[in-house]
Amino acid sequence: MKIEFDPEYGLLYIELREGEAEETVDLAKGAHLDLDAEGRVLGLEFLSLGAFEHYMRGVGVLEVSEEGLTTWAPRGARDSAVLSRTSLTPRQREVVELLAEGMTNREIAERLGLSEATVRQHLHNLYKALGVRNRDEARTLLAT
Amino acid sequence: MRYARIRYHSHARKRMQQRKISRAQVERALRDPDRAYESWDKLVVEGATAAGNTVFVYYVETSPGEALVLSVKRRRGAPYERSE
Repeated sequence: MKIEFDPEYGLLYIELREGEAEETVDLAKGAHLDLDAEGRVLGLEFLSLGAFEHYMRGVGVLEVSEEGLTTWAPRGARDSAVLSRTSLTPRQREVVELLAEGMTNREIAERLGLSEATVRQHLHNLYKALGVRNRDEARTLLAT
Repeated sequence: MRYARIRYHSHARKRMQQRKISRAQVERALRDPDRAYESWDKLVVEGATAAGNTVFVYYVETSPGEALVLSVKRRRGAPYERSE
């Protein structure tokens, strides 16, 4: 999968390689699909950041920011190499480090000056990125 | 809709090549559109091609008289003929 992204104009193109397409295309509402002669999807074009963000969250990208795509991890990926800590946003890195220390959501929220709901949202996104179901699995993965 | 200068974003150039849409088709649609409206915070014009299809041009006005083409696509059928 190759992603071209221009946040200034909200232009986004995902070039799919063989075998990457079909399981993710159903999420691509609002996208223009480029097909080959056999009807296989070669690429998806989004002309709206909102539609793109919805899609990328669905397939596992967490953040679309002014700097670009800051985190990329295919949903279900358990290979921690896929999600290096350096690929997280600074805030996500803080959350994940406190999670790894064993803090509760409330403790993380207090430490970072966030609401618990915000912490839960960060964790929800992190779990998806890491391909885990809960904080225990996340801690185990982060410890490896 | 007259633009003294038409520029092309690299994204648009790639899509034109990929979707086999020529500059002439894009510039004809900009010069004499069959439809013009806004979508996704972008300006859109639709123009009929000689083959009876529709070219969509997504662009922004970067300054008075200057258009920056962001993307293009083609749909079978003439403008206004919605298949859905």
